[in-house]
Amino acid sequence: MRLAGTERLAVPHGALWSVLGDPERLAEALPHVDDLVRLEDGGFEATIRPALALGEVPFRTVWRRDGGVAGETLSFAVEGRSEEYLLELHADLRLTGGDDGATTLAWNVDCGFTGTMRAVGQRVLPAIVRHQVQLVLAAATRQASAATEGGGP
Amino acid sequence: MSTPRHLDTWTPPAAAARWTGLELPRKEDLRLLKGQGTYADDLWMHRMGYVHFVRSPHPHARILDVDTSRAERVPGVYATLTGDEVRRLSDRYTQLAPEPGGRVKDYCLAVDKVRFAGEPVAAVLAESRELARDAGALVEVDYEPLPFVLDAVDGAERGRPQVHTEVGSNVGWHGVFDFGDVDWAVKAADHVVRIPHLHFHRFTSAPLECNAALVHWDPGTGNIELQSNNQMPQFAAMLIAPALGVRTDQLKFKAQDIGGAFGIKLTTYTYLTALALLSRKANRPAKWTEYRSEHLAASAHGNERTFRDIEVPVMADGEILGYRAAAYDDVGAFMRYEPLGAAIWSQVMPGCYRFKHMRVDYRSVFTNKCPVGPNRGYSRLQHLWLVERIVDLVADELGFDPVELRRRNYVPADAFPYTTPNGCVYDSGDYHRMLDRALELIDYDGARELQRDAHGTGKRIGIGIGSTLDSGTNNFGQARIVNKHLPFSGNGEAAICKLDLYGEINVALGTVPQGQSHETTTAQVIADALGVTPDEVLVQPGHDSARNSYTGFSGTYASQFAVTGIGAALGAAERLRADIVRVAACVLECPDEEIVLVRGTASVEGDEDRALTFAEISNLVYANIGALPPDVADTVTLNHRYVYRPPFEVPDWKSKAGNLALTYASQVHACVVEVDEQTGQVRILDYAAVDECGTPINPQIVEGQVHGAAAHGVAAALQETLEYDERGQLLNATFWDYKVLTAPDTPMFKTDNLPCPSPFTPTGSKGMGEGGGAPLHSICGALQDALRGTGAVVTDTHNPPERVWRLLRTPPEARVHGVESVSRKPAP
Repeated sequence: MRLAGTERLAVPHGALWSVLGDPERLAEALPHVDDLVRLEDGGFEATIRPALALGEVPFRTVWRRDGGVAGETLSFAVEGRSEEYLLELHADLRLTGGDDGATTLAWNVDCGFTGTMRAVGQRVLPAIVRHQVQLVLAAATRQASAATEGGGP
Repeated sequence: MSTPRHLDTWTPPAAAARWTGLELPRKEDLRLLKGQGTYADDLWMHRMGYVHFVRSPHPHARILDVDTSRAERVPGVYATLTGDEVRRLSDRYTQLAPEPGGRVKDYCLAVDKVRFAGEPVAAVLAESRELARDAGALVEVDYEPLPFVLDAVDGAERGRPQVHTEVGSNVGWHGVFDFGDVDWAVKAADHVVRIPHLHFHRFTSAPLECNAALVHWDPGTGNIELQSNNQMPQFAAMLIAPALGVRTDQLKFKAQDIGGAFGIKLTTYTYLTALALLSRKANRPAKWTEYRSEHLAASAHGNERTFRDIEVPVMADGEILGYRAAAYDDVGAFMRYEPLGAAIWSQVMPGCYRFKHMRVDYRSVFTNKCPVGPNRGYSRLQHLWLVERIVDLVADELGFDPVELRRRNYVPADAFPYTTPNGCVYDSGDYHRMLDRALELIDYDGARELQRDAHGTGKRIGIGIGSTLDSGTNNFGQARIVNKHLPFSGNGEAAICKLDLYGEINVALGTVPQGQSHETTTAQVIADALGVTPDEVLVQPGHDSARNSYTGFSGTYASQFAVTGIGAALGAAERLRADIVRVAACVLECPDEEIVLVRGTASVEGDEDRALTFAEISNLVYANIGALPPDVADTVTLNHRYVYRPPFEVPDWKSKAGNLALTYASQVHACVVEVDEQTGQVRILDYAAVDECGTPINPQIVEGQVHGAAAHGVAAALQETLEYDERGQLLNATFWDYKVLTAPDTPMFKTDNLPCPSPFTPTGSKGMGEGGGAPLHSICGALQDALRGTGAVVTDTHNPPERVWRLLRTPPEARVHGVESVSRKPAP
């Protein structure tokens, strides 16, 4: 399942990049995420609990950076598992700073599930994945705005 | 082939029909419509826990490790169960298949490997359903994914990944059914029509109630109480008892109301075994209610079947001599009830037609998909669809009128009882009359006019016919066709009929009703036999193996209740009647022959003042026995068990010939569809279902069954399909994506019933209700008719708008269906 979108976020490119590149900061603001552990290879483990019609389904996920150009693109390869479900996800983010201080973020997600979730995906998962992406970007924007206003990192 | 054996007609004393044949309201509805039914999920036991199954995400993988420790540490978790424990605590199930399919090792949980996405790998028993599910998420399973196979034709090839390496290939069973001389027919025919490929898709009957059970292994008695909606407990008992190493009489099965089963609830013995093991381990009852997604992904699917290399010899006048074909039946990851389906279809080998020369090269093939199970019309509707497609494609290819071609080839009414080339005896029928009636109901001439008028409007009109059979009351000797060593033959059903203490008539059936109105129809027949009203007959609801009598074949399946269940109840009632008459004749001092049973009394014919009520007779036998002479008191019980036994012989396993079913209900459906050329959307404009099932016991119930079977067929033809993606993942395991037929999707069925009483059954009735998939045939035929002139060929049972749209859009030169004919004479 491939999904893509472009968002214009009212925060500076550098501030947004620093949040998206720091999963611990990002996770603090994210709903449905807990148990985040940074791995030695730069990746991280997290349990995410997307709320589906079947109830919250906790996925234990491992996120690894998969290429990218500093300041421009971020790529993640994600493997997740939850009981009888497996998740494979590849996400690409491209950030472009604008003259007005805002940032344009283009994203691509290639997401594959197994089990019942695969069936649910026929109609429902695109909306759920899009919703999750919106939550991530909203949280990142909040974090980046707070950092900019407070002079933080 | 061997010479077909004919049956002797068996006609027991006919009941004086007063209630039989009336449209009485269903007794069951008094409780069901008030929400007072008791289903498996309504059950509760003290200290019970709830079970959640952890399932495989892979279609094929080696299990490297199962770690349940995190789950077991959760407060409220009572026990877990893994495949390794199952291997230690139970034996693998007996396989019905001979070599090589019989080598399969099938347990209640996956052992060493998983073989389809959704297969249970571990189970958790906890204090609530939700906690069991949460704890299930903590079970760690390490897998090593393996290559897999998803297509039966591909999987049958050498060198493909093997679902069970011990089998040596993916072909679990192979046999050739060869009757007449089809090679001669192909040489002698004026035309030979070749059809390279036809595909019957996967779907399910989607019962409203998913599987559910409450199982308690009593540590004190060793008895295992299994309250569930399993529809054939004795079959389950024969598999569970050896697997658990217990006696069959330790297994106490119980069910009251079941919300539909359709055959799909026949193979739930694996889950019942797992619940029993969990119950023993935790020393508490274990309850499980299946989620819909589990049901669709992992309970049982209907058989998917691919037909290849079909050749049909046809004479210039339209006589179809027969056919030959290869059949690849996709049985999924385990055989379970298979390969019985490899023989059952041959009950209807020529369909409704006088075909004389037939050969089917049949393979049951393992794939990494959900195992199949009997599904309404089990195995026969797949084959009947082939036969009906043959007739329609012959008509299309050679330019015959599909209606006239059917009339030319139907078995005529005066040929019954009709013996087919493989020795089956069709008991009665009148297919020509049924076809005429179906065409009348849809106004065939008007529909043709509508078709002409639609030309050029962007809509196409098609008219289709499905003529089909619902063979009922199996001869289990057909199991020997697939495995000559299986010690099964004949059939039998048991019932108990008794007078209780105050003269109440009480019947307990061996069957397990799932909505077929057994309480109502049995009461109607017994009321006639004993001279009372149906309200005075209490038919015990559901099934309780400790209370009801049964045989190894007991259960509700294969369209047989009206023959076997009713036959057993009627036989028991006749014996009870003889007891009543004997007591009354003794007390009233008259010959037995002068006693008549009227309005709950036994009286002397012509002298109603000399009478005993049934209550008085019960009093004499149960509480006043000293008042009866010893020769009467010692022989009268007022409590009788009877086993109805249809007159079957053992089929010949070598030639695969024999009488495989007792009754042949028939259906002729006709429909008119409209196809939108822009979207491929198919709309049913008119639908007629003409049914024949012998003497109807309750016509309203028959009509209800006709509606249900027709709705299931329409659903499968246009909406319902179980589709796997290229990774072996089921794409539609919820009702969001498995689009069940709802009332707005269902056409208004015009129905009629044209009875041809069976000469072989106690009441003249035939089993019915499964239907032979007639809507699949009629809708495919109507689509073919609507697509006439485009060169498109309908090769699949399932035709959603997208497929129809592609059929309309594919240019003639790009079509790959390859239907062609070789003619030695000009086509008509």
